[in-house]
Amino acid sequence: MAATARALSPTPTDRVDALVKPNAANSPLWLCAYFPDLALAALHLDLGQAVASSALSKGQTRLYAVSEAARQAGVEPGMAPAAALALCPGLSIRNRDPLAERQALQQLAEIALDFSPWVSLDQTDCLLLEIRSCLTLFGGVEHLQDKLRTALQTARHRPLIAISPSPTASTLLARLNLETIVSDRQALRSALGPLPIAALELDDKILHRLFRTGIRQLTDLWRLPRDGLAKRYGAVLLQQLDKLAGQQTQVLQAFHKPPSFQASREMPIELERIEHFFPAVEQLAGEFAAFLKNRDATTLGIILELHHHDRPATRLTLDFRVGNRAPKHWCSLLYEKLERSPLPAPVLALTLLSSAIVPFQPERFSLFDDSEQPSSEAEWQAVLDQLQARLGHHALKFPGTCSDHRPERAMTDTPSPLNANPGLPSRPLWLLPNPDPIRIGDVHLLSAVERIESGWWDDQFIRRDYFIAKDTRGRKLWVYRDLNTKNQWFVHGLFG
Amino acid sequence: MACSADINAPVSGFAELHCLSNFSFLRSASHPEELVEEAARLGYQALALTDECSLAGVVRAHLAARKHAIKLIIGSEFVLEDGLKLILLATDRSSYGNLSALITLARRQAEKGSYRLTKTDLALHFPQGCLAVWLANDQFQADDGRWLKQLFADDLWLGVGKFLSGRDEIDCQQAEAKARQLAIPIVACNDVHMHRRSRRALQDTLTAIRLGQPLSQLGYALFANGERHLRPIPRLIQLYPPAWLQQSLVIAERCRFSLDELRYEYPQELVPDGHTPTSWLRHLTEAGIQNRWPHGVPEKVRQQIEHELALIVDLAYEPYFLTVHDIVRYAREQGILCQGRGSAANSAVCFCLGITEVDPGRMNLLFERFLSRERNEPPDIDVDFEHERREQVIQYIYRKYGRHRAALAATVITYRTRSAVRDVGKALGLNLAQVERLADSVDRWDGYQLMPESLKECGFNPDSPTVQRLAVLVQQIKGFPRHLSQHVGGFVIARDELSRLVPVENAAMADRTVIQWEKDDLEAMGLLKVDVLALGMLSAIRKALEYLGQYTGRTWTLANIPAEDPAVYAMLQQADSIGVFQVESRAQMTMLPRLKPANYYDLVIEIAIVRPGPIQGEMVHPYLARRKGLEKVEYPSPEVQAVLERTLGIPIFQEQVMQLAMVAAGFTADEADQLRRAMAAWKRKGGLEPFERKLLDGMRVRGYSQEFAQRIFQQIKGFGDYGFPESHSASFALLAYISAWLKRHHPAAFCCALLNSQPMGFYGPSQLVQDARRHGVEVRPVDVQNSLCQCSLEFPANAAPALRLGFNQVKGLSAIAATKIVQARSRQAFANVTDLATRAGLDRQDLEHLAAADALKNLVGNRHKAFWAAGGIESVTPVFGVPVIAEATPLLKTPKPGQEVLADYTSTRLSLREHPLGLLRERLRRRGVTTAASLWQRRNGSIAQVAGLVICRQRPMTAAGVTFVTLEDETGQVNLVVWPATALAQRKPLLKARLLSVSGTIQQEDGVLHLVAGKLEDWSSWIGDLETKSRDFH
Repeated sequence: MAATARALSPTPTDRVDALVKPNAANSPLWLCAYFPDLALAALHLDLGQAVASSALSKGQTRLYAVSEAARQAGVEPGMAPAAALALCPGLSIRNRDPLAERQALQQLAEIALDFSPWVSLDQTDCLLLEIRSCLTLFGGVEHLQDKLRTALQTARHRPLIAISPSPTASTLLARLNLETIVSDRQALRSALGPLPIAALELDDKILHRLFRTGIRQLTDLWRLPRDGLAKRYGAVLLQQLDKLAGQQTQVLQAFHKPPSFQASREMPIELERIEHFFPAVEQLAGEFAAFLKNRDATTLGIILELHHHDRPATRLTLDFRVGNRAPKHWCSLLYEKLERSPLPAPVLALTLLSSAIVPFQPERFSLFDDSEQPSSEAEWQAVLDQLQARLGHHALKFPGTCSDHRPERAMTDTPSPLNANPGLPSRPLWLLPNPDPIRIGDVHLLSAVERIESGWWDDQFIRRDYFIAKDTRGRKLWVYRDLNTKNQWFVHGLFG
Repeated sequence: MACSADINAPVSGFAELHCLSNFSFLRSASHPEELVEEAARLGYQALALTDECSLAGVVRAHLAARKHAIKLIIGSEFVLEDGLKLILLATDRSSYGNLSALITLARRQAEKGSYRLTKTDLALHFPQGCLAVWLANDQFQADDGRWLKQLFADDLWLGVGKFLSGRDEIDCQQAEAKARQLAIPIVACNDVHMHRRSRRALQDTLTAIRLGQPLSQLGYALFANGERHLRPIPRLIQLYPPAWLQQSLVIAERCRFSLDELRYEYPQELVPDGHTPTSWLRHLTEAGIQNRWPHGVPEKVRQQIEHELALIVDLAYEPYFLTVHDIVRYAREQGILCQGRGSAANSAVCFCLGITEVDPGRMNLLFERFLSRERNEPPDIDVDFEHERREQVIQYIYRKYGRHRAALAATVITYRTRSAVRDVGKALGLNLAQVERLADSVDRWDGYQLMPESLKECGFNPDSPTVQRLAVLVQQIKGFPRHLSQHVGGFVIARDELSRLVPVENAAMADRTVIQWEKDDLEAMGLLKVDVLALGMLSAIRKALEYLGQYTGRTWTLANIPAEDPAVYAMLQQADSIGVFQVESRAQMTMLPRLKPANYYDLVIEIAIVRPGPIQGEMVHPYLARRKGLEKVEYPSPEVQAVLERTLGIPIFQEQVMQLAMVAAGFTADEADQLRRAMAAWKRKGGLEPFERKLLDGMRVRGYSQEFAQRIFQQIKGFGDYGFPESHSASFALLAYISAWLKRHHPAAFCCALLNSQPMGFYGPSQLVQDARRHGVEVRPVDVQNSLCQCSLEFPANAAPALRLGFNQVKGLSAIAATKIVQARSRQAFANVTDLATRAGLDRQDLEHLAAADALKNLVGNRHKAFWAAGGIESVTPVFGVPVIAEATPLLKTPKPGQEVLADYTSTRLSLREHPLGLLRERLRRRGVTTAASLWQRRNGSIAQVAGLVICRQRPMTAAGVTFVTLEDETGQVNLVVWPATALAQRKPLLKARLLSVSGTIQQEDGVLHLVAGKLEDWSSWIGDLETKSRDFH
């Protein structure tokens, strides 16, 4: 028998005989790496604890994946959170994040590309690799399996790996926790025979009907007349069986790495002055811009590394507010940064790296406006980039308002501009970070009272009567009387 | 400043005209009673309750206003579809009717819980006589003003409120300009959302619940401050010009309507020409006497009838009795079994009218609380009907009186601790898991309070501010109404348009309407309601009598069933009561062998005593001890003896508590009635304290010992919500006896009737069938060649009838398919599956449902073959019939016995093959597991291990955290007692197991056996996917 089933035994030690038969040499061999904990690992949960992720299923929140510790306590996927908590009061439940799962799987796919040029991401929780062509390179199927497992585990994911001539069969085996290697089609049927039909990707109704007819395992199905099966359960069932047996070819999407840019320049000698090595930076920037243009893309940032002798490289990072591919803009920002930050040592080499690359979004332009002038919006963004690069990321703030009755909460600084809320009585532009006590005799009240009582639900409960007032120096102030401490008056803000 | 108040103006009064109670659901943070009381305390001249398109809170407000001697104005706030907002206030009875009709209109043309009113509606259905206050918002719409002015002319005001928004001055100036332009007066009104400022946090929380967002995200959706409360008059004088305040008094003066003016008028069509209601009731009663006592009525009963009739005439309740009589008469004509209960229902007159079967002679005329002259309380009659046919009765009422005259009473759904924790927790931003965990812990909370221990147990820090806020808010929000639902069956019938009496709105059920008042409101307003309730047992009894008739060859009615049959009581004394009405529950079964009911009145007590009331009041053990003669029965006075003698000196019924208060503490009938209400409400609202003083004082004055008085009061407190009235118990006991008689003498017919009336009762079909088989009934499986649509009896001449399961037991099979099978078979038996499919016109799914129930066995052999055959059936073509295609014989496995049992349960929820535990018995025996039946042979206090299917889990609140689990094996059932510590330590098997193994200690006493659980193990994997149904935590 050319198959070895090792249910529940993650250590790949068993010997597999007669791995590659001559006649199978050019038919594809599929490896499936299934990640049972992907949904939890993507949320960075501690798998040693009782943790679970939940998702909406038919309008109701249900557990989606659970850790081994949770399973020990009786928690299972599909349970209602309340039921799970009744069993396991310490359970921590987080919402499932399909996007994070996808990203995690993509990272794993990038690792897998080191083992096979053909990696498919068609499934949401496993990777499929075509490995026949790479077996010689890795010295046989077991070595490949071991190395892949190690590589994936290094990335902190636990794979279950099954290998067979049919991608469907490999996926099925891996999901059932059967770490099997089946190298040819003849052996596949007998390897799959004892599997429960519940594992087939069939409509629940059909599965149920099969079950009730006494059909529990794949062998039961293979024993029945094909026409009778097709008549009763439809052609889909036969297709499934054929796919499993590797008798039907399947079209899978191949995965490719997302584009990234990296280029370096060696300096002929160690250079200290900016103007001496900066032309190389400009060249690299030009190359990167061309790279982006070819792919109709822009970048959200660039990283410049300046390599020195015997010490860590200096790293300069630019983040852009919108996708950008203007090398002049980059260079002027980099130049400014370099001018302002003294170099620790002379420069030996340069590396320019891309951060996230995104598709190019053309600006709107007017049909009749043929001026080459960039639009004022782009100009404004460039100015902002420049300001932020110069002053630091957190130095640039926009005055904003936020929906809250409490003035301190309502007026916040945000890294990007927001619209203000009209409809409230006038508010001063400058709010003091800490209200200043005053004597009420020193000011003259100008407005009607505005009473604000809010925020009891967090730690900033206020009860105040606000007034606009004028002080002896003629300044227009925003003052309030604290109702909690009766008669205690404060200045809270200044009108311009 | 334009509208600053004149401080020097003389202090005048004020009437608040814009005030919302918590019947404007999730908007206001105060009960109507609180608002009224606070307004009175502040010295307001009047208060208008103006809930949004609703009068649901007015009766409560009215009662409170009467108590606190303040004038209540009835009104309502509306926001028209285009945003126009106004208040309408009723001035007299006719304008009240118009307002009520307008609310009805707005509510009826919208989904349940919302309303819709347009300007056109308002113009077309103009509420003549109502005063209008226009609540203009920031953007004054001049057009709106002119339109309103045209409509309401001089009955229109502009309502303005100042809430210290910082813009008050500007707003007031704008309002004054607008008012001048339209030539309408301004009235100050304060958009009141709470009775005191301190409810602000609750008001914010309610807003968060209403908008479905946590407080931290609500921002400007919340009010900026807490000014929208009832503010003291001096404060208002500071805020508003005197003229604006003065106008509120002008309006209040014009609103002279009081709810006291509402007069309920009875339907008139029940009295034939030439009769008055009095003479017609007399006529019907006399006819009933003839019928009930053909050989002459006993003198004592005659006296009672005359006494009752005189009282009815005195209180002018004839039409009520005639109404109930008419409904019952209709049901009788349709052969729908029904039975009245309640204090008035068990009167001699009602016996004559056929409303009840409780014979006043047999009951020893125990019911003094029939009607009371002093109390102006409407009589209370609930009528139970067969649950499957109650809808017929309801449709009759609608038909007879019209939908505009008959509607269901409302039930106000209020916040309970659990729902409060959930909603408040979400509003405070606790995460889903935290909220669920906390809500789940509610049933462990002592007295429904947030206890520090249980908070800790749920992983909360009791000292954290959020948790403390939660605790306070939960306490405040409890009892707040959330929405109106329909009462289970309380009908209100009016002489004329009901909607002019009280607004009518849509219920969740299509074609149902409910009024905006609930039971207590109706009672307070003296409106009569007839309770038309559904009772499954009546359906079952009617059916059982019908089956009895089939094989005994005579007609059976309730009257034919022999009274006081000793065999029936002997059966009940052994707790052999599965299926018997009211006494089949686990708790009742443990009481039966102790109380040993030997006559009808014992049953009345049996039903009433196994209730939270008597259990919490600690009345059960003293009663049993006295019954056994272990404790002496003593009465402190002859008066008390008269009240308590029939229950051996222990108050068991609600009526006895009231009578005690009257005879021992000098309560008037009216006060006793208030006590009854307070008893029902004190757990939710408190308020029993004034009665405590009065009761203790009254008893001391009359010479009762302090100790006796205290005991009585504790018992009253224990009763709480759950005091069960004797008048109800008496009616229930009758049905309990009848069902017990049927079970004892005709188990097959009884079981058949129960199966055909499912869902009902405490047990599922599986338990019912097992019980019938244990009583020697032959039960036959569903069979396509023999079964009828329903379960039926098969009776060869002179043999005991066998029970044949019907197609109604087959999961998924439609009634139509079942009928077609029976019809096709009546011509000729089926030859094979194809023949069946063709002649009965069944599709693949129908056949698969039959195959699942193993009903095709006689045609094909086994289930697997049946499914294969069913799957091969193609749809019938009109010309060629079923295409016949030769197929290869499939290689299918024969089902194993275990699989068969499993499949039986899946389809029919029961199996006539071996009990699943029977199949496992050998394996169980090897593990030292014994059977349920053999526990009885073991020594009391010995250790035993049993295993069984879990059929019931209960954690009654009377049992201090003890969980009761009922297990079933092939020999019977066993009751487990699981102490809280055991439950906590082994919650997983306790909550999850379908097959549970238990080692425990046998406790046997008075013919009752419990196993006190020690180690629990979940062996569910042994029974695979067997579908068991446990009745959990009802």
